Amino acid sequence: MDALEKLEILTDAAKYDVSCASSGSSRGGKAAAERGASMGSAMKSGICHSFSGDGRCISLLKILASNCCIYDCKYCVNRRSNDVPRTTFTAREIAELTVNFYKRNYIEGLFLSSGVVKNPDYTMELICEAVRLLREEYGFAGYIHAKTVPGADPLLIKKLGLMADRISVNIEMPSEESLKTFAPDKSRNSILKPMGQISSGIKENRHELALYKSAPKFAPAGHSTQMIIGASPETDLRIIRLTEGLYNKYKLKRVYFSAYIPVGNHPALPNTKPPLMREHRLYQADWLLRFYGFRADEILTEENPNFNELLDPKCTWAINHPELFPVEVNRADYNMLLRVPGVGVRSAKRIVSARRYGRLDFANLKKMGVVLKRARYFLVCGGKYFDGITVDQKNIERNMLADAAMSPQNAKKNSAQLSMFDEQLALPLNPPKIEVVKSITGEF
Amino acid sequence: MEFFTDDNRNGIIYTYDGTFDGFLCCVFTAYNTKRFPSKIARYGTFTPSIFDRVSDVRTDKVEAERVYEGIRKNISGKALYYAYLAFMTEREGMEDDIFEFLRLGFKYGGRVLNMMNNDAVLSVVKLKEKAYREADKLFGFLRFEELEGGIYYAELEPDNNILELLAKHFEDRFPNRRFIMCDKGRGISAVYDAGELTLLRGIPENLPPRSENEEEYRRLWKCFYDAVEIKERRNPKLQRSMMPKKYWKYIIEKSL
Repeated sequence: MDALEKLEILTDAAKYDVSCASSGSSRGGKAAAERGASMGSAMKSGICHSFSGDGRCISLLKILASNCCIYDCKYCVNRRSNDVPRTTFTAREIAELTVNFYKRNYIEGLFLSSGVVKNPDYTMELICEAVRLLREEYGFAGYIHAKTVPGADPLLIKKLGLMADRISVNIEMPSEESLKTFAPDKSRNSILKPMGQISSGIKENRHELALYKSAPKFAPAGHSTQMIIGASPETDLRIIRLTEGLYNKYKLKRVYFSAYIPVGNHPALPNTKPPLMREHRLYQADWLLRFYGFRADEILTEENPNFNELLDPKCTWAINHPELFPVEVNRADYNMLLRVPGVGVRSAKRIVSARRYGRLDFANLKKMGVVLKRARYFLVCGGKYFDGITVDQKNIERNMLADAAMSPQNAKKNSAQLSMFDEQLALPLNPPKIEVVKSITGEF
Repeated sequence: MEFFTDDNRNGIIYTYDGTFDGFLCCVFTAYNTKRFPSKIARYGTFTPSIFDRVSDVRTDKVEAERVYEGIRKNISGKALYYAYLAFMTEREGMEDDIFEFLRLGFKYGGRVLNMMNNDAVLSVVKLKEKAYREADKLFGFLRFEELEGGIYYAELEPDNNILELLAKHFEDRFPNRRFIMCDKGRGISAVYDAGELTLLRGIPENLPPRSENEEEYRRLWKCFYDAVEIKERRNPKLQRSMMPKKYWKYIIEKSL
């Protein structure tokens, strides 16, 4: 089998993994070179290098080390019982591809996962060896995200975490029952145990780093997970509660959702189009959890456990809480501003800093990037609604639904990786000639 | 110093050579002569009326350096960064907004960046974001080809004048190698060789041929690019909004 064919098979087999973010690590290339690296750097906010025909970002070389698998997870294209061509990369092939793509600026680094060949430890050793070659022999200081295999030896996880930027383990299904039904070879415990180990490894390491600056870094870009949605019967509420729990308990950087694409063969699996709108709503809710100070139980309730197809979760929440609105732009605190539909993190920060220098009106808000189409129902400036409109609580929902119907949701911000905004924290660049201003925090 | 007016006919108009240094010299002249311009424009982009008094400002490295340091010390490094990036958008009239932004900065210090209800400040912030957004895209979309002799070569045509910013990024990423980046639209090149980054006018001719492996890796990359797409989620509109067509010319997986 030639290199082209191999790459095609092992890319095709890897493409259903959502995560492609190259964010979370910040590593200057020159500093890395002084420590002996030959090339590479990492930007805190990550970099997208291309976009495939499905509109998803391509940041990393996303491949499997092997698509041979001893497991038979029903939803997975690589399951043992599926009749597909199988192949395995050598560690050196992986390293060569990564370095040569990186040199040409095709990619930001490597995202390496694998089917389970022979047994979990054997597979993890293959992954470790590829990463070790890259780091040690090729002096590669670009981004590496590697998957850990459930059931592998904790020592191997530790070893991998000390070389990669991000390591992760997929939770696969939104509930234990579904995991039992569709992935009989994996158990909840075999997934949560390594996740716990990674989480506490990171915590200890941050402590060490605070004490000894030169301590080796363990998964400096944190860890993430993903679950398939739409293959199993869980409600949206259940999924976001699980998500919230994962963020709180395991301090994950990201929880990814992957709309199920019918590649499985189990009678309980749906054979429908991937639920992209649902995935989009879940990501919106995920943002509310991470950046907007919402709790899962505020976003959805037992009575309404699923998202509204037409209205985004923030609008839905605001409509259901008329007692909190309207909000006075010139006085409301930051957290309340964040909860107004049409106001994002960026515009809320701008409002808070600008109003110290004078009263704000709707023209100011518009220039600051507030989406008045939505915000006008919930905001007042100096006690007045936008354009003198009178807002009748009962009509808000009707109006907003009409607006939503007028502009069919283009899935712009959803199915995409969102890596554009992914954990954007610092502006790593300086104007030329400026030497020291290391982290200009113009972006948040 | 508040005697300047918005009325063009009574004010003085500074023209300069279009470089950032040249613009900084306009700032220098304004403060040095205590005569604030009613407009700053690059030579040739502005037709004065008979009432206008036009003054050509000469670019002087030392004066520019003084203003540069002055902004950094008296306003902030961040403000300097904003002014620089906003300038690189080359949008018509941006000089006036940046000048006003700096004037406020010299008066209020680093706080100027919070004064978002001022139109000039907001304009500078937005222009800076515009330039940075494009740079951020090109950090990813730029493609190098490997030439014989281990030189890496890239071409681009950005809307904003961000070649220097991009070159800095790749200088940091690949400190041990040689590369040439060409802004074909502006006819300028960034050359990085032996640890030294230089900006040059012109586009190199007579480049060495592509290296032996180059075609092979292009094929492999194209293969990866096609295989990684999930056909069931096909969404060309989303793809174009994330990766606008104007960049495709130099993105090899789209142009091959």
